[in-house]
Amino acid sequence: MAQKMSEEEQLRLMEWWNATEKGTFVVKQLVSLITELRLNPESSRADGMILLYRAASEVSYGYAGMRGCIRRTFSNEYSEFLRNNIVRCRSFARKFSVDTKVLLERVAKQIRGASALLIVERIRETLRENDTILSEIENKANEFFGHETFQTLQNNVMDSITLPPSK
Amino acid sequence: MQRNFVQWNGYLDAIDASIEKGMAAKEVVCSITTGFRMIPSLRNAPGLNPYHASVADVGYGFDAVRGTIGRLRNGEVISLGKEMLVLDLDTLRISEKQLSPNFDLVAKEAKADTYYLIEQSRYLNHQIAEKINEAIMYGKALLGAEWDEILKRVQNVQSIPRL
Repeated sequence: MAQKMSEEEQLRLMEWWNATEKGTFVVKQLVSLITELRLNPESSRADGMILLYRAASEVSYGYAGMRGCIRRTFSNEYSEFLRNNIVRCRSFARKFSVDTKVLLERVAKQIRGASALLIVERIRETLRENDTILSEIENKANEFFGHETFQTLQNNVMDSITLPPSK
Repeated sequence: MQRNFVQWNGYLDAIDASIEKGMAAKEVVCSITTGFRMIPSLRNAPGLNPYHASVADVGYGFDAVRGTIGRLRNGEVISLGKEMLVLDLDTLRISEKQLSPNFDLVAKEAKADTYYLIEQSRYLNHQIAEKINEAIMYGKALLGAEWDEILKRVQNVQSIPRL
């Protein structure tokens, strides 16, 4: 069922959109650096490389998904379904940013070459910028939904990917 | 062999512009695909995992190519710059081919009330494919005969198994 957004909601959603705009810049930098690391002979065969690449692609996906949801919201598709959808995409971006960080350090352990280590350092820096943007996005989401609703929506996502207790 | 600077930048701009035009489509496709995970008839549909992975690969490729071009435009000297562009552009070609067979498996499970999301995805994936082909065409124009030579080398990395 399509719903109408109030003017205030529209403004807050626009702010959320603007925060994702910064995210797209950082994520482009992130995955370009990861491609560079994948190609560099000093790092391309390191354990964890494949998972690192996959995790980063899900971060990119999470941002893109959020933006896709906001686009759809503004083209009159706003609904309970879409609210859950955007919260899910945001949780993807956050979750896989953690995985990317963990995997990067695992990969870094195996690298000795100076040029690859330099790329690793730049990826670390980019992931720190990414963290800043993700917390900004979290604030925007809180402001858009209201704290309690946002919590409920997030819990719904978590419940939907957890084994329920047996009856 | 090295093309002049103006030509080089012109082709980089053309690649970037093609992909930029596909960004909105990619974003909406990512959003819809995540939504499939909330639809009972689709969330566990055969094909959804590999389809999701290819959608993510397309997203990665779009961002990576644009990120690399952005870095080059900022004056950064990237020793593997050409290899990066060829790897990501050619991998986009492969990922795009993987989209529809897996998507068709998912679509079989769709019910009437979600069919519009299937139709929209199909339309947007078609748009994405066009933009990928356009970007690759400009990439080949950028590198000329070097494209094939570089592709042969990066295929070693491209052939590393992925999930």
